[in-house]
Amino acid sequence: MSKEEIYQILKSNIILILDEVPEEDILIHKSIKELGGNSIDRVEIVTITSEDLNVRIPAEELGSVKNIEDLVNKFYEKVVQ
Amino acid sequence: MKVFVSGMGVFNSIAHNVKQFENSLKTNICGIKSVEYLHDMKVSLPIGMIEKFSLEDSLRESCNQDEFFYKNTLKSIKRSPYVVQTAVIPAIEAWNYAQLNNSDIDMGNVGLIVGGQNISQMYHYEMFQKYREQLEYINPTYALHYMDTDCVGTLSEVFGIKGESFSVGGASATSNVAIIKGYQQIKFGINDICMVASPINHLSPLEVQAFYNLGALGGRKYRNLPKEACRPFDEDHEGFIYGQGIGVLILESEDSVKRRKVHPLVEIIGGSMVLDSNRLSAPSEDGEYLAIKKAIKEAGLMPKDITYVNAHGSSSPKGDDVEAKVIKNIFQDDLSNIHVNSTKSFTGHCLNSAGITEAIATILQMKGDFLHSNLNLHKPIDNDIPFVRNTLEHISVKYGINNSFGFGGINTCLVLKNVV
Repeated sequence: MSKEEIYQILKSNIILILDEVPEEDILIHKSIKELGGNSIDRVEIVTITSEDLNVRIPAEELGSVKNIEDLVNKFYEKVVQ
Repeated sequence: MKVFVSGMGVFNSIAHNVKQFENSLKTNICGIKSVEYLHDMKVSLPIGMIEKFSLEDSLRESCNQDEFFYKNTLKSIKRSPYVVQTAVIPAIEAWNYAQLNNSDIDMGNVGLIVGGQNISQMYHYEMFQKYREQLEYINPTYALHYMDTDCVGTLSEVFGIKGESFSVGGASATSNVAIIKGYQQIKFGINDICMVASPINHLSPLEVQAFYNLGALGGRKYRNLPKEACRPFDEDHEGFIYGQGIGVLILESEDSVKRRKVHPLVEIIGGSMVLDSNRLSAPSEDGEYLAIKKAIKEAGLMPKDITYVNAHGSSSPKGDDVEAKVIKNIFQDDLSNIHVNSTKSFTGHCLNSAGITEAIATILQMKGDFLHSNLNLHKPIDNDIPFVRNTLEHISVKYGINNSFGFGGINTCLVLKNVV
């Protein structure tokens, strides 16, 4: 699975949870907070994406994730392991 | 401080609003149908089920063209459990009925009591089925949604309620408990206004199967004739029929009603809760008798003043028998004075929301000068009690009582006074 594919899955889950965000507003350098999501939205998005990709990201590893790009990289790291 | 009912909202198997509820009660519409609730068993049970409906459409209708309120409310409930989403619709009806949407009130003096315990059992069941092998993927919002107070938090968010609020439980007597607590809250001056809301008791197959195994659930004989399955006080009664319903009342102090210049519907003049010191399911003559006597006394009345009894009447053989004996005992000198019916014959037993659904039925009958019939009452278990046989029109009721009894020996009674 490529990083681009991961990004697309993550993007569709962001749209699912933050349903008022227009797709064109979602850019890889942005954070979920910037897109209007709160901390619960963020955990939900990560959980649903983890289930889709069949991986697990321990909560302590999410501290270093600052934006969507970091999140894509983190998921990629787990997928290739 | 007098306590009035200034608004109401309802949603169940025979109505999506108060007007429809009144029509259905007047025209003998029964909401009980054959449902394959226990999928594994492939057996149909008679259930007063709420048919599938569009949340957005119903919400839009109740919001009365207030687009801002509609959008904000939808945002709050979009991914909430079914019991929370559905509770909002009659809550909006009640809020608007009491004209609270147009009022300038201190939300710190508005409270909310959600009458319901274990309201979202189906939701837990489905989550367990889905995540039992992969617990780590459970949606984190489950931590918010699993609690009955998700309903308290959500309704308080939708309406801006900030006064003392909580959820209460009382088994099948839950809504009477909630109404009585709201009544006491206002009498004590804690809140000026209290929304009492009882959501759907969304049973999972576990509870339905357990009730069936206990012998409490009816509908065996009339499985193929679901509309005839719920037969309160009839010789062929077999057990209660599960119903889904939501009821919401707005309780308000006399001062607040006067200040806001709204017309109250009825006054709550008495309410009692008496326990049997018994954790099991058997009804008690003593407990029920004491509860009714106590409530009538608190209202400053005598049995002869009561002309209407909305019975608990669950269609359970033991329950109906005991309640009939108690009614006869209490009103023995004035039996011809009263009329008795059970709304459960129309909606089934809505469990948490039974009491509030029946309080609303009581209010509609009082305001509409009619009394609904007892569906399926062909051979009454007692021929002395004046059960309403066919819809009665042009009947005025000044004082009525609403009985609710629950497992665990919980007996409650509410006394309502019609306001002209």
